[in-house]
This record gives sequence, structure tokens and C-alpha cells, in this order.
Amino acid sequence: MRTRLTISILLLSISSLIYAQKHTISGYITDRNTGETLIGATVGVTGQYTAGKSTNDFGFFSLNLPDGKYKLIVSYLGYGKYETEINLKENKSFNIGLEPSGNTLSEVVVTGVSNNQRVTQAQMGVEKISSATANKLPVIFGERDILKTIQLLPGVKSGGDGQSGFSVRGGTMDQNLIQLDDATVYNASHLLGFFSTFNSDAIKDVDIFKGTAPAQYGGRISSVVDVKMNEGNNQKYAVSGGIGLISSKLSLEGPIQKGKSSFLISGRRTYADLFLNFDKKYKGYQLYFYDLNLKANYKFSDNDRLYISGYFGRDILAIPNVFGFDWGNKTATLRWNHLFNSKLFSNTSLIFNDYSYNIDATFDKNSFSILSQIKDWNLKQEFQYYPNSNNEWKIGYNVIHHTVNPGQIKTNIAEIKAPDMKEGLESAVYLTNNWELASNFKVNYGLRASHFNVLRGHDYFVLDKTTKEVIDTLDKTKSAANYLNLEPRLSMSFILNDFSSIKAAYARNTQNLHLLTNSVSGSPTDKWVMNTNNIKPEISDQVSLGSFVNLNDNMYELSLEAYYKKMQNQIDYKDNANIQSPFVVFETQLLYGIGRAYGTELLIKKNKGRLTGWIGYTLSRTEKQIEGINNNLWYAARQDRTHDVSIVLMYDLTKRVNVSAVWVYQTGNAVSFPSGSYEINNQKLWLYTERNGYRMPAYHRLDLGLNWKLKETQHYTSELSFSLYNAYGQENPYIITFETNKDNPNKTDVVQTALFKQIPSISWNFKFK
Amino acid sequence: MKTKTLYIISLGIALVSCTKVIDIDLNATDPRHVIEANLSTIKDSSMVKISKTISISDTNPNPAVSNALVTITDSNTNAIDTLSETKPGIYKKLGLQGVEGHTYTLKIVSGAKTFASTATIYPTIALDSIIQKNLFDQPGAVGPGGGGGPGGGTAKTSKQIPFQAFYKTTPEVESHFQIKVTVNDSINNDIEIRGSKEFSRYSTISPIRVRVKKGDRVRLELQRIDKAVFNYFTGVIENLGQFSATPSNPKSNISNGALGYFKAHTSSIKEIVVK
Repeated sequence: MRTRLTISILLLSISSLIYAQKHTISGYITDRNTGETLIGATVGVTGQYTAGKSTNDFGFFSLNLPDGKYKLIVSYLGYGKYETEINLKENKSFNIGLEPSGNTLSEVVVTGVSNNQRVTQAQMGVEKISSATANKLPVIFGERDILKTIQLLPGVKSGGDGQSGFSVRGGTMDQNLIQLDDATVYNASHLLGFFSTFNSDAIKDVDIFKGTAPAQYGGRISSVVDVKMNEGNNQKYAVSGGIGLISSKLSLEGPIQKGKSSFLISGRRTYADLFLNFDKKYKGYQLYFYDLNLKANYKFSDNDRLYISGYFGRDILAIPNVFGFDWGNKTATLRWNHLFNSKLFSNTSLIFNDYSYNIDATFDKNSFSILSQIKDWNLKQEFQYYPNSNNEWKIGYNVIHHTVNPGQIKTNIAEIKAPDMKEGLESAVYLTNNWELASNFKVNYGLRASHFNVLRGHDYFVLDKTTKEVIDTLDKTKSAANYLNLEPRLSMSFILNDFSSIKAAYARNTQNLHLLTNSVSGSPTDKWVMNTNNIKPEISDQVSLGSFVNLNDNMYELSLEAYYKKMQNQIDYKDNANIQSPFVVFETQLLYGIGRAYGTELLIKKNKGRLTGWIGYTLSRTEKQIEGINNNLWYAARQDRTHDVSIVLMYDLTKRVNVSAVWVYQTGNAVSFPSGSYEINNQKLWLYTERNGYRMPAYHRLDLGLNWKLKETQHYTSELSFSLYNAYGQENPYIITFETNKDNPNKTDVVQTALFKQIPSISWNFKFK
Repeated sequence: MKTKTLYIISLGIALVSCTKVIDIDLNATDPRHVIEANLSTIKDSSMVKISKTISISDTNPNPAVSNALVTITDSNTNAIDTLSETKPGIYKKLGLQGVEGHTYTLKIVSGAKTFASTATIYPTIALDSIIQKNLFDQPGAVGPGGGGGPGGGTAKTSKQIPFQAFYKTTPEVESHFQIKVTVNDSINNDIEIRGSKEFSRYSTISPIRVRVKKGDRVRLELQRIDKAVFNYFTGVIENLGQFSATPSNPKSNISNGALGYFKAHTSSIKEIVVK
């Protein structure tokens, strides 16, 4: 049935090709001043035939049209429109540079999505945020952060105070695929989440797909956060930077070949520890992170372009002679874009990424160290084929070799046999098409086949079915397990009129790597594990339905989306699980079952005018049912939150000063609090009644910000940013513990620890160009 | 680890994290039976204690459960011992003594409820010796805390000192222990546990730190217990620490929803005077 449908779809696409002599318009759309390619810019034609396309991740577009006279219109929000008349008789190639419309009050860049694309595109459950938006909002510790900004969108829930970890549509933190130029970032946070690994000066934009991403994405079941780095200015050299209370950054960019290729280097470091060292007690203590983003591209010919991008970041924490702890990511991406012809675009990427942490401890004369690492080699090949203006095919494959080393322990005390490392091979092939069936009906359909091979040569355990204890070891000379999954994806839009549409989507996603963590928001020592003979790939099936309306010449965007997600092979920890100890075989601590998540998301957004911003509201529920937990009954997942509200307002007071406010409100996480107590061997024990049966108190917070442009000339800009995090000083609990009252040993105190009250910050940002 | 890291980070960013006592609406729970049943091979040291749970908001001590019918049956001989209440909630029998290799059944009838459990006494594993300092401290080293750093050496004022106990065990045979530490005859710690199969790779028995001073008598009692009780106390330690990802009640080896344990054990005791 499915094959017959695919074939008929293919035939339909081909038949539209035949009726007239056709030629192709193709090319790249860039920012005229910097040469940065513009992703998602709209390229449209009117005339004897009307069609439109948006540029791909590399700013490329291709339109195949019947010969004739057309008006070509290129637009991108925040840029002036480009129009030209063309007479199409042969294939034409255009490289068009758009002029930024400057900081006029009327055209503030809120998102990169232009015009009413949000209404018309087939894709749903997707949000795009540009660095420009993130830069306008108030920040914690004066550091702009795009990963914090996406947490203000409906369906995306923050992990907690100042945290970079987040949950999408009821998923856990590890069910988000966070990638930087296609390289997986396994831990996207610095300083336990108060900063993200993404330096806003080096980031172009971020797309977030809430579980209904097209088939070229795979590997996580909740979302894809696709972060793209800036390429660097190919017109002239520019230096930009910022100085904040606890961190500073500096970027340098410029042309390698003027107008053709460029480079970018951007670095950051925090220096809170320098203040700490003023106090004699903390002399020699270290506490900082640094990171470095590098990117360069080189154009060999009109049809070949090479990109190299890399990221290197490390957090360092040390108490002299006692304790040292460092962690961080390394990623490198080598990419080759090749244009076979005006209809066939190819992108080949070779990617390396590595996340590791290292702990050294010295007690008395004994030393102890743990090194934990997850390392991937990843090859991606994608062909994009534009047969005609109604179809946009993507066909590709992806092979990843994973090495997971959970913790190599070294000590001078005794011989310790640490758990063995594991290796896995994750492969996928996919095919997807963005098909404009009719001017009011668009479909994005695709299929992804993913395979996971648990590679031989390492220790895998057979567990007793009921006690979960290790009873045997598998033969090392054979692969421990193979998993194959087919993931169909479908997303479609029915365009009702110029300003509204209805969309529906279905997607299956699978996940082969899983994170074991004690918290909702994550810690550097959380453990990534792969599928094994016991851990099976997580599978989610999501259906969603949405309605999209743009009003008043796209000044207002309204959307309402509802989703229902069914999940299989979900992992949770057995009662009293110990998932931190490197000596415990982690699989003995795990139980598996099913999950469900459903909810609705409302977004009201104002894109233009002096006042811009949005209101997001999510009503949702996420539950699990796992044999051996909570008497086998459904229970709320830890990240389950009923209500989630974000209000984001940005207002231009004058041409130079803008103010912003962000207010968030969230139902507290589901937690297991004790309901009573009892005594065993004269020690007080807590009595628990159900898993995650209680709630943390609701979380709410107001942040205020002010950006003041001190100077703006053609060659120099400088700006002061003030932020007040948690303006009304709400003490949101970070941890709640139960303690015996000091005066009355029979009384129990419930004690909450809050991390932050008000945090004011100031930073100064500049740019020479 | 995380709390430590967090602590340092909080310091670093010069934040004043604020702690306060709050009110949280917690469900009142129906009182449940808590049973601590010990059957020892040492004469007259067996005892069963029965109490009930209280809600978090209660400020009274855990109530003792009186008038229960407590019996222990030796499955090998079918002899039944009935324990009688000597103090509220405390049940004992003069002359009661467990036998190595025998399996016992505990039965408690309290009101309309009946609870039962079985436990086996495994052969004694004897303590060889105890030494007063960390095995791995280098001899002759003098640190701020005396020989071998803060962990070792002599002590005039009371401080944490590690004690190392040795015993012989058959490798690859799984055995489980609970260690009862008394200092000058008062119980210092009786929830410490060790499992030999899991730990034999590292040391005979990992050091136990006890706060003592010079002249104190430290007594270690190595109780061989069965696996269910070992798992129970693993849960107790997790529960006390409130550090598990999934806090819950330790898994009891007693039926019908009772909390607590039935422990049948052998004992081997050694004493040392703190130098």
C-alpha cells in the first residue's frame, strides 16, 4: 500500500515536469555587508507562473520554471526586499546580497521566519530563533544565551533556575538532539547550566523541531535543536566583543578571499574565580570555563565550497592539592558543498565530537581519578534535488561510530576493575520531499531507516528477569544486539486563505543513546549509555494538529498546536537506584516501560512595531507506566508540568534604548516526597508512598533588561546592557530536604534551598568593523 | 559529588543561597507496622521491636505496638518459640538462640494483621583482627592529624579514626555482613554493611570511621546476614542520605506490607582500645 502511494506520488511529481520547456534559477542569498549566507530567506517569482522557495541551510535556492518573463523577489525579515525582472530562456545563477534594513523602529528582527512562511510551510512544530532576538532579552550574569531563549517558547520547558537543560513536549533532557554545525553536543551547559555552550557572538540561528522534524534528522525522540554558526564576514575585517561582570568575550572575523570566503574566531572566558582568590581562604581555587568557536569557509569554484568549523570548551574547578574537576565538549565539522548542477546540491560532512569529564581527588596520600568520555565519528551525506518548483527532495545517509567510556578509574590504593567501555555503530538512510501539491496544500513526507549495532568486543550482561542481577556475560566475539527501526514522517498544511492554515503531522522517532541522571536539569557527571542487549531503542510516535493565523500584514502571529505522543522502551530507575557509582552495573538499576505525553501550545506573537514579543502557554501532561515502579500504575514523569507560561516583551523607548521583560510561570516538577517517618535501628527513615506523587512549589520569576546603544557609526558600535534577573526576588526552591528539627527530635522540618534572589548584571558590547 | 561541586560554584559566584523552612502540604498516611526482628546465635541477644509510622506533621515519637503475638519457628526442628513483651513494643524470650545452618520463620499477629518472614543463618565467618589505622597510610608519615594524616595515629581529643577489620572468606562465594560498632558499650553504628563478593576486589573490608578518643574501647561485631537483609540495609542507607534519584522505602523481607526486616545472623566480635 505504502509503496503504491509513494510510486503514485513520484509519478505525479514527474508528470508536472513534462508540459513545457523549463529552466532553472539558482544561487545563494547573503547579507550584503557581511557575506553571511541567509538561511530560510524567501525567493519567489511572479509573472506567468507564481512560485516560492526558501533557501537551505547554506543559503542556496533552486527554482525550476517554465520559460518566460518573471519578477524575482527575495525577502528576509530584517532586510530590504530585492526585486529584479528576468527573462528565463536558459539556466540562470544569481548570488544576491540583501541590504540589512538597519535598526529602524518598524522592522525589528524578531525571528528569521519571513512574512507568512509560518502559515504556509508544511512543517509544523518548528520554531526559529535568531541571535538578534536572544540579544534583546534580559540575561543572567550578563551573558546572552540562545539556549535560554528557546526555553521561553511554548512546549519547551526550562530545567530550573538558570539551567540550560530543558524538556520538549514532555521529553527528558537527553531526548533533545542538540547539534552545532551537525556535531552532537552531549552536554550543552557550562557551570552546571548557568551558561550554555553557545556563545551568541558565534551563532547565526537556531531551529528547534518539537518532535516532528523531517527525515534528515534522527537519533532523539523529543526534539532537534539545530544550531548554526556564523561563517564570518567575507567583505571586511571586524572585531567584536563584550565585557561583563564575570565573563568576557572577543571575536574576530574577516575575508580570506574578499566576497568569497571568510573566517571567524570567537572566544569566551569567565573570571569569577579571580575575585574568589582575593579571599585568602580560597587562594589557588579555580572555577572558570572558556570556550572557543572557529569557522572558516573556502570557495574553490562556483560549485565547490569547503567549511571547517570547530568548538572547544572546558569547565575547570579545582581546590589546590585536594580536588580537580574539568569537563567539556570538543567538536569539529568538515563540510563540502558541491553543486552538480543548478538542480542538484550535495553536502558531505565529516564530524567528530567528544564530551568528557575528569575528576582527580587526593585524600591523605591517596589519589583517585575518574575519566569518562563519549566520542563519535560521524559521516553524513545529503543530496538535495530540486526537479521543479513543486518538489524539494533530500536523500541521504548517516553513519556514526560511538565510543562510550563510562569511567576509567585510576588510584594508587588498589587495583580497580572499572566497567568496560562500549562501542556502537548507528546508521541511517533517509528520503524526504517537500511537495507543493496545490497552491493551498503542501506536504512534507519522508522515511528514515535507522539501524544500531552494539559492537562486539565488550562486556554485556545477562540479567535475571525478576531480580535484575547479573547472571551471565555475553560472548564477546559477537555483536551483542542489532536494532532496526523505520521512521515515517509526515507533515502537511492546508492553506485556508492568505493569512491562515491548518496543519497536521505524524512522526516516529527513535533514540539509541540514553542519559542516566539524578536531576531534571543535568550535571556534568551524568552518564550517557548506549543501547545494549538489555536497553532497547526508545521509540516515540507523535501526532499533532495545529492552526496558524497571521494578522495585520504579518504583524501578529497566532498559533495553536495540540500533540499526543506515545513512547516505548522508556527508561526509569528502580526504587532506591544507585546510578552514580562506577562500580554498579548500571543496567541492574533500570526498569523499562511505556510513556505518554499530550498537551496544547498557544503562541501569540507580535513581530513589528515598537513593542514586540510573545506570550506562550502550554498545558500538558507526561506520564510513565513501568513494571516495578509505583505498583505498576501510571505516574507523572519528573519533568511533568501542568502549566507553563512565558511572557516576553521588548519595547523600543528611543532609537538607541530598548527595554525588555520576561516573566515565566511553571507548575513545579513532580517529586517523591516522604509522607511519613519511622525508626530503624534508632535512625529516622522516611516513608514514601508513591513515585513522583508530590509537586515542587510553582516556579515564577520576572527578569528585566535594558540595552543602550552608546554609539553607532559605520565602523563602530557600542552598547551597554543591564539585566536584573529575578526582579522581585522570588525564592524558587532548588532543593527541598526533610530534616529533623534541632529542638524537637520528633518534629520534621521541610527545608528549601533557593539559589538566587535578585541578580543584577551589566555588560558592555562593542564592534569594530 | 554534585553537592560538593555545587557548593564550590555557589561560593565562586559569590551567591548567597537562601535556606528556609517551608510548609508543604503532605498527605497524612495511615500508620503502618514497622518490624525490627533480630535472631542471633548469641544467647539472649535476640529481640523483636514493633512500632508504627507517623505522618510528617506528627510531633510525637513513633508509637510502640503492644499485645502482638510474636513467634519464631525453627524450620529444621519445627520448634516454636513465642516471644513476650518485656517493654512496650519490645518482644524477647529468655534462652532464645539461633543455630547456624537453620532457617527460621517469623510470624507476628497484631490486631487483624499477620506478618511473616523467613531468614537463614549462614555459617560464621570469624574476624581475625582489627587494626587502628588506615591500611594504606604510609608508616612513619607525620601529618597534621598525627601519623598518616588526619585519618590515622593517636588521638587525645575525640576525632574520626578509621578502623580496619580482617576476616577470611572464600573468594567467589557471596557473603554479606552487617557491622555493629560500639564504643564503650554504647552503639555507635549498626547499619554499616559489606558484601564480600562485590568488594573482595578492593580490600578485605573497607575501613570504618568512628569518632573516638584515646582509651576508648571500640568493639566491632561482624554479623553474617543473608542477602535480603543486606539489600534491605542498602536501601536504608540510600533512604537516610536522601540522595537517590528515586527515593523509596527499603525493600522489606517481611510480608503483608510491613516495613522493616527479619535478620537472622551469626556474630564474631573483636575489641580494641584506642591508642
